[in-house]
Amino acid sequence: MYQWQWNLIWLYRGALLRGAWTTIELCVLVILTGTLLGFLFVLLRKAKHPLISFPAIVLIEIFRQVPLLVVLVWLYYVLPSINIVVSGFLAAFIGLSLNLAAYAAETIRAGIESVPKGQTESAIALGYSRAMIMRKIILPQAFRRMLPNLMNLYINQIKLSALASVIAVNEILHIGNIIISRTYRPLEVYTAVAIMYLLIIMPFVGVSFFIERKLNYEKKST
Amino acid sequence: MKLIIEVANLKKSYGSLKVLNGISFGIKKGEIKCIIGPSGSGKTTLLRCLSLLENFDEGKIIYHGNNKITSLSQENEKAVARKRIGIVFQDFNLWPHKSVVENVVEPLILVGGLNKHEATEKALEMLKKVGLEDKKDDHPDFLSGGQKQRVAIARTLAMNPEIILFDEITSSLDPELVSGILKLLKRLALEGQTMIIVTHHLEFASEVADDILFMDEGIVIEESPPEKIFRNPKDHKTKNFLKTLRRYFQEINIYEGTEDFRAFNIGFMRKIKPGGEYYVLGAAKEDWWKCMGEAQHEWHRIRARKNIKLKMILYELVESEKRILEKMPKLTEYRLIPKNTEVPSNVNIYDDTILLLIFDKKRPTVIEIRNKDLVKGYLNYFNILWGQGKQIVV
Repeated sequence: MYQWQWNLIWLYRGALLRGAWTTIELCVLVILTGTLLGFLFVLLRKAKHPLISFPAIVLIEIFRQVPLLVVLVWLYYVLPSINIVVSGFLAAFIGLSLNLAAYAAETIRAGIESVPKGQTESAIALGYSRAMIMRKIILPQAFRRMLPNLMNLYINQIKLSALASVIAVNEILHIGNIIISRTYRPLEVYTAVAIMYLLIIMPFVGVSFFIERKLNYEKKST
Repeated sequence: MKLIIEVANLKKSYGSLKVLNGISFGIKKGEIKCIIGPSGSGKTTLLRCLSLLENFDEGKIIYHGNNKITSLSQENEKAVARKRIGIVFQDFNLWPHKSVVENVVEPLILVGGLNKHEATEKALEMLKKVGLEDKKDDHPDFLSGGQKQRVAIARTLAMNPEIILFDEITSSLDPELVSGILKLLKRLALEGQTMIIVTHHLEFASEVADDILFMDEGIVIEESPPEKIFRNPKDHKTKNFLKTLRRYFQEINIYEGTEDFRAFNIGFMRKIKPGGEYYVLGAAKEDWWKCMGEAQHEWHRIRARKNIKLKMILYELVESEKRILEKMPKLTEYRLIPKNTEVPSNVNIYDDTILLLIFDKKRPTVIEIRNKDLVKGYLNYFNILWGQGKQIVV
């Protein structure tokens, strides 16, 4: 019979919490940067000149088609060989952000294109500039439509951040692995790690439920 | 009078399809031009070119004004020209995430440069003008088509454009809402607003237009004052088009009532032509019947003179309505049908039958139709409304 030793988790609580903090820090940065980059990708992609739009398409497709793990490892190990030294955290941040941006770009583009063209035309006819149309007409509506999807992407990205353990970022899973190598207690530690991910992601799920319910309600009431 | 817009030899094609084939005309301040023509004749494209939503291939559009704008190659010149022109679309194109008043206020602030207080004041004034003051905080999704179009007109009017283009603005409206919008345009015409109106309503066009342009296959075939184009069209194409359009529109008459039911009833009784059988379909509405009661002497007189048989098929009747009906047995012959039945199939629709439907609104509307197919269409529409739980009267 296996003897559970939960006191071990309590013993290493400091390290685990620091790991959780690193994960949260990394994910907040990734979500903010990734979303902004996603918008940038969309702008570039929608540019009329192929010299601008083509590279954006290539970039998006690379990050959608190359496994994230490969991207992370590549950034961490290959870049130093051409004299660009990146820390594990930086490499994870760059890789996860670009990956999120590539997926978010599709969601954002779909959201923007879902606003009927007539609304843009009436704004043009009234004298709105392109920027005003984006800010006042398209984005407020597109944002509501893409929010549920973006939420899903964010949740996914938090889960993917565990891959950063491979390039020695001191996030939850990596800390967990270190503790295991000292204590040989994988069952307790991995359980704790899983629960911590659950706790970090739960608020996002709650928010996305809330948003979906709200959107459904509005659909019904109109 | 000074010219506002001058169009010279305007040409545009989509691929191999030539949409505009050399259009030339000018419009002066205070003038109203109505454009008529079959669908696909380039009317909408012309308006889109004039409002700079679309580029054209050849020719010239000159925007006169304080300073003439001729070359439209530069974005900033386009922007100046756009401020002078307003356009109202067939599909309203309101912004659904903003309330009615916000739809009107925002362009005033962003483009017009007013502060929030001034803009709100101006917007409310415009909404009052189109009769939608009380809906100012609603969202467009909750408005009827006619109301949406009023908001769109208010939004354009608020920007004080020198000229407003109207692109078939009644085409996507339910028939009973059309006359209200046309009335609003007539009021703008009286105020001296310069307008170009694409429309299929010939009667309306002949009332407001200084000139009517008949377009076909991307060219203006005829441009003359209404009395000339309707009485004595130069071109056989114009003649044929007017003929088909007239045939269609003579079969429908729409009377918009006022809130004064009594005046409304008498007004519509006078329109009734002798000799026919009339059917009134719908659920009875108390107010209407009360007025029928008040107006019954008038009814008797008209009925005796014109020899009208009035048969009524009624859906549901409330107690007070029953009493009124019993008081005037000579007036009508009526039959009750449970509320959820289909429109009765035993209604014979003769050629001289006029079907009257009155919808439950503060302003009841009578639609008089003299064409079997159209009647069928209306009955369907009527049933659909009913299915949605909207209340329909009489």
